[in-house]
Amino acid sequence: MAKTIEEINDKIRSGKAVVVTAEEMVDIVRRKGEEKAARDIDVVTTGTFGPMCSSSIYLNFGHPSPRIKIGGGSCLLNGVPAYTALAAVDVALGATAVASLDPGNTSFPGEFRYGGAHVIEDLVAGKKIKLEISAYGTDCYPNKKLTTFFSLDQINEAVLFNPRNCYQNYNVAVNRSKKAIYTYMGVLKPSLGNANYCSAGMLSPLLRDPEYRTTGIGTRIFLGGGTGYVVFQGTQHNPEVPRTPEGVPVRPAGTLAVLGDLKGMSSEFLRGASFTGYGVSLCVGIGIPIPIIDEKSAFHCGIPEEKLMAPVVDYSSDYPNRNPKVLAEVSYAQLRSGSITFGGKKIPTGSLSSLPVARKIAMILADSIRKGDFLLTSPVAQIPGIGSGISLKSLETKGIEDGVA
Amino acid sequence: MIISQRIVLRFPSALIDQPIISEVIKKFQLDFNILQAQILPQQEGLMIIVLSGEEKILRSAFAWLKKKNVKIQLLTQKIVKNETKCTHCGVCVGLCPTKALFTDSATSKVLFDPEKCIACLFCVKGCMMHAMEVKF
Repeated sequence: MAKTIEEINDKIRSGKAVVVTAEEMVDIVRRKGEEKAARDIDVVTTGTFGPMCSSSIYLNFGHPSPRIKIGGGSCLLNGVPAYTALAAVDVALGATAVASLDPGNTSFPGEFRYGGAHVIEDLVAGKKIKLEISAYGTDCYPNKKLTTFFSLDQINEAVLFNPRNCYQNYNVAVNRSKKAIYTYMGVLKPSLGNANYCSAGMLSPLLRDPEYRTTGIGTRIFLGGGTGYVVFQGTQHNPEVPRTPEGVPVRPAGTLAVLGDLKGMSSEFLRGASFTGYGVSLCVGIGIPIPIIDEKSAFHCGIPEEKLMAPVVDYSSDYPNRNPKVLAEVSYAQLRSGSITFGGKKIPTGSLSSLPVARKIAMILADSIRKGDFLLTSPVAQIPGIGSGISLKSLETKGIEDGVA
Repeated sequence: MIISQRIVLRFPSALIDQPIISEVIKKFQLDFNILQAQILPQQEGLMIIVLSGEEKILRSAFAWLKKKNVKIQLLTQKIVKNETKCTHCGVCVGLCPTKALFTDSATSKVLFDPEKCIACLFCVKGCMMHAMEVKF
């Protein structure tokens, strides 16, 4: 018994759609089985809130008088350098940019208190941002220097554009060396002192649609507290990794490129993050609705965390040297329990992804669908899946080793 | 009235070879429980200790320690969890050696019990939101 997305949208419009969160769906499928669950449930909402480094904004300030051409010049937003080579008054700012006067890791480990992600958070929160521009000046754009303040509502466009978000599964990071290390997976204590993971588990969008059946290009999503869209597969999209018999990847796999109007978003779901000794990142809140079109959708949404597996990777030596070694596979149920056992040792676990915020996102999305404020979309095109032949490439540095470069 | 105080003691390197704690315990007849101690030759020593005794006597003991050039800091005032900044991700839970930071099983929110905190500062370095603050 299959349903089309249009049929589900008709139910949403008439207020009859049955919408549950991914967490609730696991329980429903366990009790009723996927066949009955597919009949009873129309939409499952997911949610995730964690650091997603490949995030950015682009802005159009409007033209000052006299005009200035930022392209080819430089631009600071609250002291953080933005990318200027787009046009006269367009700039882009990546989440991981650090303030131009930040000491970095010169006094190790650096604190990275303020960077691109914090500018994004402040902008969304409605705060005034200091804008400093220097340009070379032309006949049509004579102005060479400009310092002013602006807020989100004073500029033309502000768009969140994240080339790689929503990782489908991720590594569990441990440290097998004898000293503490500072990574993008957090502080890792020596000798397997702790294990950090980063996934919303059963609430994670792409773990609920593991074969990208309903999530594709054009899918409308909850993004940063507002509305956004999947615009493409994300960078490093890697669907051909090993999978469980249920079809769920056991390695970092699919990713999404997402975009949305920053003006409708909230700093509750876009938060600047500082990783001691590593740098700046942006915690992004994303929720994707999964239309339950058939039994297979219900089955995928019903897979419990005992069957969602993540790889344990050593970040002291294997990861930095690109050694693909996986020390073990553990389930999200184990990770959530507070400790995993590896090599005869009980290791406390910590999550970088916030479960309470992920839950909140899934509930907000479910509410707006129930109210008829959020309709589902069919993908305009699918993103590459199993059988696409994609394999992740690595950067070879042969020329440099040979002294050619 | 008998009270207990959790305190951080910092010993300048010149005092490392002196039995300060033994002296203060005997002199003022206090009860004690050492939670953490790091005292190395040639370096500043650090001890986290619970001292119990009559309030007045305890105060005189603190004064005596201060006179000896030991720096005293009340531990309960040391680490504060900023609830506005915390996103309840839980990365601190895996870092905390005393389970002062723990996950509430019903809500999955991260809770902080300052009574169990030994001020190791792992959470301060590990929190990407700077939600764990050191207060002096």
